[in-house]
Amino acid sequence: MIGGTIIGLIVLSAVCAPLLAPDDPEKMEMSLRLKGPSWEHPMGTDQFGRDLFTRIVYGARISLGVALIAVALSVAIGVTVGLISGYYGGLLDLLAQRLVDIFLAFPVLLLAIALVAALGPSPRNVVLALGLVGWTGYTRLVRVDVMALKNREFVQAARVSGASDARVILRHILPNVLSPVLVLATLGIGYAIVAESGLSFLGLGVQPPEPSWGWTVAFGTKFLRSAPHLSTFPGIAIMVTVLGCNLLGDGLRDVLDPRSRRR
Amino acid sequence: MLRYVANRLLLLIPVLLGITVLVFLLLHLIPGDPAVVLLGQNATPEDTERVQRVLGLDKPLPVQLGRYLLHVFEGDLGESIFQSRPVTHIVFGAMPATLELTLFALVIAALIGLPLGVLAAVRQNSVWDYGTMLLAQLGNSIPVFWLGILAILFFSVRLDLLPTFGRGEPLLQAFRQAVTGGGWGTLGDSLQHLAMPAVTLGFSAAALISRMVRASVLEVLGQDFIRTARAKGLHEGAVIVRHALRTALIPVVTIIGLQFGYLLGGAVITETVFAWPGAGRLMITAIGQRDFPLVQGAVLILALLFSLVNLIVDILYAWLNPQISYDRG
Repeated sequence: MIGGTIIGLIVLSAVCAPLLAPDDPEKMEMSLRLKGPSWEHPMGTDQFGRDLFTRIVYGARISLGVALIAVALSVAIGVTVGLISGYYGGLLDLLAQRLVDIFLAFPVLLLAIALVAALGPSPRNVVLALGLVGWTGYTRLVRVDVMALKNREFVQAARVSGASDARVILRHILPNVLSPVLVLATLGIGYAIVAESGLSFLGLGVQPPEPSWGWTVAFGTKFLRSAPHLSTFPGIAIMVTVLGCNLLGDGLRDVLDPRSRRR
Repeated sequence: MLRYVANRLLLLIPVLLGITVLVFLLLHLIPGDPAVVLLGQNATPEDTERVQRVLGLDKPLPVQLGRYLLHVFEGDLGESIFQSRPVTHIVFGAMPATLELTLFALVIAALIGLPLGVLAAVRQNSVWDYGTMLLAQLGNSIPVFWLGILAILFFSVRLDLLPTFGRGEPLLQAFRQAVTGGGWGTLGDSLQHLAMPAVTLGFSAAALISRMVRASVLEVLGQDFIRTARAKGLHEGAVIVRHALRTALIPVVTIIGLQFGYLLGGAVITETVFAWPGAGRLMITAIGQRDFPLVQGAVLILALLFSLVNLIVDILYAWLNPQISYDRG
């Protein structure tokens, strides 16, 4: 409930950014540089006199957008591989599982950094990198469920009635494996936001002048003594958003999978 | 048990091969001619040719892959473009700093996470429980770089208690110096440099460990043998320490061990925040310099280390847990 409210508010503010923060996020006013929080600028201004609140509100669009598309890519790859691997088994399954093992042999962030380093820093490449490193969890989850489901009566009945493999997988098995995927994806969005901001912090993600949260924190480190608000507010934005995703993910797990409900 | 270890080692071979191929392919993901991209548009044709030769890019892809695998097998990861030194020397030179930071972070994570998790389970639904779970949620949500910056702001800028950047003498060296009568100043300085990066890195791991310990202890506390122990009239402290914890901590060993690997990944960012001279920071610097052989080398060595640690944790878990069947690979 709390998680859903937090995420709902953040999504709403990202969608309604022009209403909430009518200033242009790129508008510079050097006379106002590095001002602390005030009524006019509730989160202060940055080194170019830009309103930090405006940039954080617009930054939500980037962080959420990158994280959502990256997780969608991971889900698409992971669920597809998991469905095929679990349904057909045999050599396909063996190969898929070795591929999963190889990807799991890398610390996720390390592989994402290496991929972005090769592809070049840009939001598109961050999406690609995070999408390509995050699929293994979905595959493992879906594969186990598919292996259990494929021998159930309703699946066998569909097969006997002449349904093709694709139809059995998509119409009968897929809808039954989506609940845990939804939970993992919600938690994955939180992780993707942290990873995106980490990559941007390292200068490998979203590039200035785009109002990225991670990049703003990184730039703020140059003014830690004179303007600590510059690193503090975007960090709070990241933390609250990730906290919202984690709480929402936990809540969804409680609702969709009562067996795993925390005591 | 030996058969189980042999099986796990055999399964590791294709994984290690796959890691190496994936790291090799990284260079070929670079859009355009990697040599031109690495050297920049102003590079002379001679320079480009030299880098192509050094990286083996003048050969067909299968030949490049074969040579790369052969070289990796021989322990040769090529030469750094920027430093003109063997990649293995540079990465292994930085590795002790990374291991020191990661191990220290893991110790801190275990020291915070274990007692908090046990306390939360034993005092379920109390203020301790809610406090621990809140801390766990926060630890799970705070980006490590931001926590590092907050720590710098508070402990260095505000309180002037701890040094902001860099590393003191290597901890082991400082410790040896201290116990052989060289004074405790160096050890103190090393610990002061290590404290903030290690706590920053270990915080999220502590959050996860406390959550796992809580869940594990709660599960064990609900089992029959605990009820029997209580029915025998054992003191609650003895029930928890002698019976519950001994069983509950077996899966926790795995969690703590696996955290070491994840901390290795997190060390890349922590080292950058605190200018800690480890393999992670080396990698980020190499990315900035487009020194791709060094990036590949650092990624490969960190991934190999990650796999080995996970293997050791797996074997340790099997050894500790009598319920594990050794026949299953």
